Amino acid sequence: MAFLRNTEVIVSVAFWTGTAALALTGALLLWLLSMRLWSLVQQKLRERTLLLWRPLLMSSFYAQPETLPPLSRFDVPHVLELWNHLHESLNSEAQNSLSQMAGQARIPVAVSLMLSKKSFHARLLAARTAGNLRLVSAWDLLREQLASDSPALSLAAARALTQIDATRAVPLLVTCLVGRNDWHPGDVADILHIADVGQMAQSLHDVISALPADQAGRLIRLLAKIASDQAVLIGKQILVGATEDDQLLNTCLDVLNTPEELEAVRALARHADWHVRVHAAKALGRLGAAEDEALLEAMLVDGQWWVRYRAAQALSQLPGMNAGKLLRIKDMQTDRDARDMLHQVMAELELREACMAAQRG
Amino acid sequence: MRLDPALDQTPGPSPADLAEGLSTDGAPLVLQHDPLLVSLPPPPPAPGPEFDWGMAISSLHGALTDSVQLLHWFFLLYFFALNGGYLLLNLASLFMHRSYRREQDAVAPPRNEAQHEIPISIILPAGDNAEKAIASIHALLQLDYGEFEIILVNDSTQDQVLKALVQAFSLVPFPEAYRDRLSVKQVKGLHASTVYPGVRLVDKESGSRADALNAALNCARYPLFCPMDTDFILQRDSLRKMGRVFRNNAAAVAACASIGTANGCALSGGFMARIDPPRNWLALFQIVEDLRRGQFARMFWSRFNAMLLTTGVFAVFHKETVLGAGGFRTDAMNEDMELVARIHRLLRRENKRYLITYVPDPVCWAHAPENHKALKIQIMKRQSSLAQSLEMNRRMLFDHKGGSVSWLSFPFILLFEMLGPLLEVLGYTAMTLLWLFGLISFQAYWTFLLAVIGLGMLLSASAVLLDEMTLTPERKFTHTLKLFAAALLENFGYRQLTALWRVIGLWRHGLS
Repeated sequence: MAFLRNTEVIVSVAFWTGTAALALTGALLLWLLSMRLWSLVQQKLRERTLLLWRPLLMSSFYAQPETLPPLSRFDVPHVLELWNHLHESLNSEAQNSLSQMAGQARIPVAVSLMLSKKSFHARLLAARTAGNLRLVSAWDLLREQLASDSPALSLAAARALTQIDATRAVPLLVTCLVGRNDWHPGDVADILHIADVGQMAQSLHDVISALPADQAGRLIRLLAKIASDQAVLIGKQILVGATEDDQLLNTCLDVLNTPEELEAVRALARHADWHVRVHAAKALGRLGAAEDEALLEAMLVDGQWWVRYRAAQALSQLPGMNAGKLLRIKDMQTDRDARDMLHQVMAELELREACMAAQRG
Repeated sequence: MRLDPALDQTPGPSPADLAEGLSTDGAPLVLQHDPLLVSLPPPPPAPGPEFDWGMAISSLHGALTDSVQLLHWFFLLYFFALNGGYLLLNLASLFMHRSYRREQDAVAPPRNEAQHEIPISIILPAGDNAEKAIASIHALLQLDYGEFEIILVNDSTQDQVLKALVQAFSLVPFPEAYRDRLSVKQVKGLHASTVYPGVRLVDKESGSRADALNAALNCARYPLFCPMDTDFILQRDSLRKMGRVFRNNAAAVAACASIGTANGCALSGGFMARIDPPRNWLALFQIVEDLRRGQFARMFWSRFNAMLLTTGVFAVFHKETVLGAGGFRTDAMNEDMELVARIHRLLRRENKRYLITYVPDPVCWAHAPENHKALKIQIMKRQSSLAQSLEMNRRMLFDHKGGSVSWLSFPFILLFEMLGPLLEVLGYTAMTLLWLFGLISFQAYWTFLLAVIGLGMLLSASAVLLDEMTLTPERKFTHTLKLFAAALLENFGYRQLTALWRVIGLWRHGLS
């Protein structure tokens, strides 16, 4: 440790640390400038490419050009962006013309190469183009991409596969829907609209019963978006079954849309878990009959605020219920919480009407 | 006993041994009873060895030189660790940031995104400035989000604030079945708007911001909530970007985003219309400071679910988790940061799966102080609140259940954020004093400054570059250059001054 006592060592360490830091700072500035320069060059290249290819793509709607300029490696991403943009915003006739022209420009070959690349953006763009081109030869590569860790890449692949062959894609999609939590339900709904809804619903219906509760709940909600009848059917089966999972019960209560399973809903209104009681109260408000009044009145004295609130709202939604009747029910309540809750819900109804009147006015 | 071969020839004890009272074999000498010896006066004590002042001074000097050297090394290494630590953090977060941005930009938002959004309650303590609150609410009402409600909290002592709010939003008394899930100061009443559905007002006795937030939480209807401030400026899709975290991850309990600097930016209809650089250098320095030790560090810690430092952030929370944790602490100086730390502590103790994450998108802006006085107050307050928050949750430090929070982020923040300014100030002061007293050479002093300032410049410049690499859309080149210049210049005075203010903030916290 003698070197620690050596003044020269510390001075030279400090000096070289400072000098190196300053040199690196200078290098960072150069890097920053070169990044900007590169971005400027890219922009110019893009502008030049689009200037050349936009008229060619547009003219293809009327007549296929006899010759096309060679598509360089640097041009491909810009041309594909434009090609996809046009393809997705035009009718099928124009889409056919664009696809024909893509063939002439050897875009399918470029797409296959891009799908095998490591670059995220290249693969994403290639999947999008392959889907729009209905490029059957890209099936295997897209199938590989479907398993990507990146939700964006796997969703792009799923969409492309569905566009290429919806029937073949359904089993692959169902497997992904079961296994992946990172797909946004909105994106999935968009893809499912391209797929064969009947086949998809049937496949989902078949797998849901064999899934653990958390996955089943997610898929039931998804199924409800594309085929509510199938979702209701599964919901009913689960409700009359002996499931103990609160989350799954809640999901099933939410998807019910016919009063056929009211008895099961009424039973769940006395469930030990208050979350289930809340969902049961909501379901009673949506599907309940006049005879559910007593049950809902009993729920007004529940220990949980949300159960009381949903029960009061459900009461106000029952068939034949009106403001006068609600007021009478409120006056009959001996429990203060129940009375307060009914008072609040009645005030909310009045407010809603006032807001609607203000918006109309 | 000395073994001197030259004396071995003479039998009996040597003079030196006799002086020590030892015999040749080392046993103590026993004096014979000699009456003559007894009658003699005791001999004068032998003169001790003379104190060698020169040697003492030389030893002291040696020790002092050693201490100075060690001090020199300590401060140099500390500054190296401080800047190097943040540099590594920022570099690591670059990859996380780019991966996030790549995923976000890769796909267009689904057409029916609003249908899948989790409803949010926006809570806005109105404060004493009714005009500002009214403008804020008008902007909030235009947010692009599926379903949300706005809960205004009026705890002003001025009657005209309530009157102005009632008039602006056509509020009428509302018979809410108010729940006291969190104990708050007396709630005088609730109002609801007859024009804007979803706008309610909680009128309560004057209290802290935390108390106002708790009062609104008691009557919030939606699973998520967003504590707002009248100073915040949002974009139309700000809430959407924050809400995505909760929709994509069921375990998410809080999402935080940095608050950008609004100085110099153009507003339109209460929203951010154009982001321009501030003209004021203090505001520019604050942007660089946030980049240097805020934004990227948060991204890094959030990757390990260990984000603790949430001063100056815009956040959305999961309501039931916050209620379960006891709501906002009214004695905390920065209630949001303390809450985040507490949620970490409680949920980790209960072994619950949860996520507190950082949203790197620019979603919220506020005006930064442009004068020394206001900046000093803000920095001191932030440092005090950081110290308080760490102290309130100190049990988390090296807790066996605390994972990355207890073993990584808490010690890092304690060492570099809380105690960092103290060591920085001590370092500068000690090295200057040592040089002034001639204990280190001028060469040693200026090379120390070169290393410290050079490392600081490298860290700040790298933060600006990382921001440039992750920012979309691209900002104006002059804006970037201005930021780069600020990254270099802030190391000459600003950084040292803010370190001093943070030490004062820490000192005041210690006193309180």
